[in-house]
Amino acid sequence: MRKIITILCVFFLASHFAFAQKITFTPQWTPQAQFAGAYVAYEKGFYADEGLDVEIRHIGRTSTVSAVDMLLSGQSQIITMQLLQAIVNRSDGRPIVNVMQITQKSGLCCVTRTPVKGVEDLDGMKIGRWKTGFAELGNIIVEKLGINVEWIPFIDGLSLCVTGAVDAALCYTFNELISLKLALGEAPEENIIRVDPERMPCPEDGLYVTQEYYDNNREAVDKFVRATKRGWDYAREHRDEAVELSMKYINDAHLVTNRTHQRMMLDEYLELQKTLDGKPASYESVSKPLYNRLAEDLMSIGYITNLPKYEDLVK
Amino acid sequence: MKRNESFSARLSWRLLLFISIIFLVAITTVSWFSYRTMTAEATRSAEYLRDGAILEIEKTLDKVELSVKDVLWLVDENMDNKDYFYHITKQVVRSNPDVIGSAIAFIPSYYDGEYYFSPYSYKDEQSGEILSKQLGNVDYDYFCMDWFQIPQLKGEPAWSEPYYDEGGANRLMTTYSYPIKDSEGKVIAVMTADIALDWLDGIISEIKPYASSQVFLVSRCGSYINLGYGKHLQGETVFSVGGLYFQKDNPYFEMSKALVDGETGSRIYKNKGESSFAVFGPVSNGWKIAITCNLREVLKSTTKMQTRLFFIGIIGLILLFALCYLTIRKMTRPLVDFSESARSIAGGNFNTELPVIKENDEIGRLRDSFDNMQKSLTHYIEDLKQTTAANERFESELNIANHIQMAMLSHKFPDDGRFGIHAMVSPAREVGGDLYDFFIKDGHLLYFTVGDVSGKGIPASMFMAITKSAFRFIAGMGYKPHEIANKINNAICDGNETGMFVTMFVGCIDLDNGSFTYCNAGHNPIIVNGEYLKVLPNIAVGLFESFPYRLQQMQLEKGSVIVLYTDGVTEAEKEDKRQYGEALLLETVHRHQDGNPETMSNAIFDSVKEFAEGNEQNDDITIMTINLK
Repeated sequence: MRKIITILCVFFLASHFAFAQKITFTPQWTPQAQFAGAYVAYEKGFYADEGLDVEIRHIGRTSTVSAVDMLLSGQSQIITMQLLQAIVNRSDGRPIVNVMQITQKSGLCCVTRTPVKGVEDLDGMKIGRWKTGFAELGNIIVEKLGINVEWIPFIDGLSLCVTGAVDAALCYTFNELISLKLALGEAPEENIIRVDPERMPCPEDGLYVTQEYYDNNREAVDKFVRATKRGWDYAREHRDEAVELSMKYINDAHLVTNRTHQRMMLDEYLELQKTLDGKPASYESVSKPLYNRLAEDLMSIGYITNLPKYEDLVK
Repeated sequence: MKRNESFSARLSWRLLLFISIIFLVAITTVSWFSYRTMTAEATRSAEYLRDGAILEIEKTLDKVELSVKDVLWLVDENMDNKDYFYHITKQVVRSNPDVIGSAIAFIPSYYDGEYYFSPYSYKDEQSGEILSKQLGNVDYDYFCMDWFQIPQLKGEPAWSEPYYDEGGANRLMTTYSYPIKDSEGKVIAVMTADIALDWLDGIISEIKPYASSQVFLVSRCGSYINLGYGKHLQGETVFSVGGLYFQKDNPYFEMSKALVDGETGSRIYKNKGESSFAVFGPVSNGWKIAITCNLREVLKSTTKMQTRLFFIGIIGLILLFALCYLTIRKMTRPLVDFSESARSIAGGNFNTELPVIKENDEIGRLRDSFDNMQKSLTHYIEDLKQTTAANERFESELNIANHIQMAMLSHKFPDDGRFGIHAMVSPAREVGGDLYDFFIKDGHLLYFTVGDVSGKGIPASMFMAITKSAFRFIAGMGYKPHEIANKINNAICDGNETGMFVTMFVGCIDLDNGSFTYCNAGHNPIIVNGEYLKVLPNIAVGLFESFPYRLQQMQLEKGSVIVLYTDGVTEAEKEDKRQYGEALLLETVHRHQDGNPETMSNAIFDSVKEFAEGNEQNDDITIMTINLK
């Protein structure tokens, strides 16, 4: 009898691992606390608890291969991406779907070398922005106001800002702005233009999969989303630990950063997860009216030529 | 209880305290100046080292810059021979041993069909050979990299932020980039020279003003350039370490800000409870160098010297205290002897020997004064003894006089069923000037008198004795009261050179029929049946000879009460000078109208004493009470 039980156990365990679904997850940028929820979910075994065999594979810092490329080529099954980029991709015919909305507000800001009072003051400036994208919202704002700026693509805007090679640079409050603060010891508010979440609500990072993967692996996607939310909830309550786990990925990638930066990044990123009425996080999908407004804004500046259906993108 | 203090100890302590304060002020001043001097000296020394290091670094950087600038003309001349660029970059690497790679990176598609044209030569770490390759490709999209973009955008050379050579041995590198422009001034390419920063270790390790000194090289973006003893700082910026960014009030923050802002200077600051100073300044490529020195270490020798000085000072102070104490004690020893002599003299031994002082100083003079005092004291005590003996004699005589005077007054008060009488006298001094007397003549005539001699004491008592004797003699002859007053007046006036006089009330009651005849010679009005008796204004006895005293008469009934008194009753005073007065006397008489004469006299006396509330009696008090039955 004992033998039979042992055999059954071994069979059960073997089948469990044999059938654990393998998922490659690719964040949209190199390792940093922006993705702490996924690192925590992996390291604390939340993915394994869901029966998933997750591999976290980052893109290279100077690589021209983006996370979307990884997703569409099948190298990754789940990626993070900003909502505006997702709308553009979907409009361009790339069949991707949003399965989880991580942040509810945009962390975009513009840091200038000289004090500015508003977006209008950017007129005529040479402004740095990421080569790899993330500039849709900035474009919308600038185009809507009819401001004439010269965009300078960069990989790392910090040196451009500090050396004065550009007049201003787009930044994320949870990353480049922190770099600037830690480089110079200050970042005066009169040199920063932030996106007002009341006037320009724009949910940002989310989890995306291909339509095909979503259709065929609905359960696995749900499990991944559930474990990722659990990871973020844990990170919110255990921030130092979440930063430590993030540092592990950062060090593995031989990236140069520091704990203070990553901790500030995590704190700021968790702020962006808060809902407009101040709740810690809802992971709530973008509403249809807001989606339509953002898609129309993208169309108005020529980023897209057709409006992808809300139901197609947001699940 | 007063402590038995020693003058020498007290003086020594005060001296010690004073010298200690001077010592502390001196040592603090010396310490302060040493601190200032040593710190300034150490700062100068560190500044010298800093400037030396900056020169060394800039020398190396200048050589690299020259390596590039020297071949720029070749680039210009070979724009149509782009393959020659590999040769040029090789030449740059070969010419400068510090340079480990060089590239001429063109803007996208400068040459047709060559999107990433960027000839690159580098030193192969294994073989040491100089190899060449195309730097840019899909995976190395250099157009957006700092080393290309910053000189391209600014149109001027630049040094990159230090970075790690990802492809090689993970060495820390920096790149010098020089923009190559076309004839219109447009940047068409950027020529670079990469150098590893290993050589910095050599320069930095030579900067060691103190064992615990640290040298930090900081990049343009505030990052620590990872060197020797700064491994733990990899990836950290000046403001990220220890969360300094959040400590704007920390002096270390202010210093770090000055450093990052490219200031040249020095600061003293406190970090983790330790005082340190730092000198800092910028390098030509945007880096900054800072040298920190622990002040404890800088001031080590001074501190050691100060500690020694302090302990020597403490020992010196202890010795000084001991010396002062012993010297002063020796010098003040005669004072102790004087103290004992004084105690002995105070105990009555006026012949006590005084200590012998040979010196003619303050103590010698004190001894002379003591000697004089001792002699004066002996004389004084002798006089005092005699005076005391005389006083005692006088007091004894006064006592006898008091007894005699009291014996002169009647103390037996008859009560024969027709009348009752009681009298009392209380002199203000041992002997007094008040008098009273009474007697019965012919079995039915009750003669009585109360008088008050002017003045007090012995003269008054003698006058009183004369007056009282005169009354008894004259009244005993059966005269009427005004005749008695008249005769006593004439007797006293005769030879009364002292000018003394007596106020008297002389009365006579016929006990058979209640007829009351009386004469008031300047005395207080008496009280009859609870009312002041209206009396004629006769003058006191002894003032004017043959004064015509007038007789008055009234009829008394059975139960009549007569109260006689002297002004010692009505003029008795409280401490605030308020007097007993006639109204209060009358009130007391009313209260005891029904009592016997003794009760009445005592009640009046007690009332007067109670009123005076212990105030000293300043006049004789006499009270006489008579009642008819």
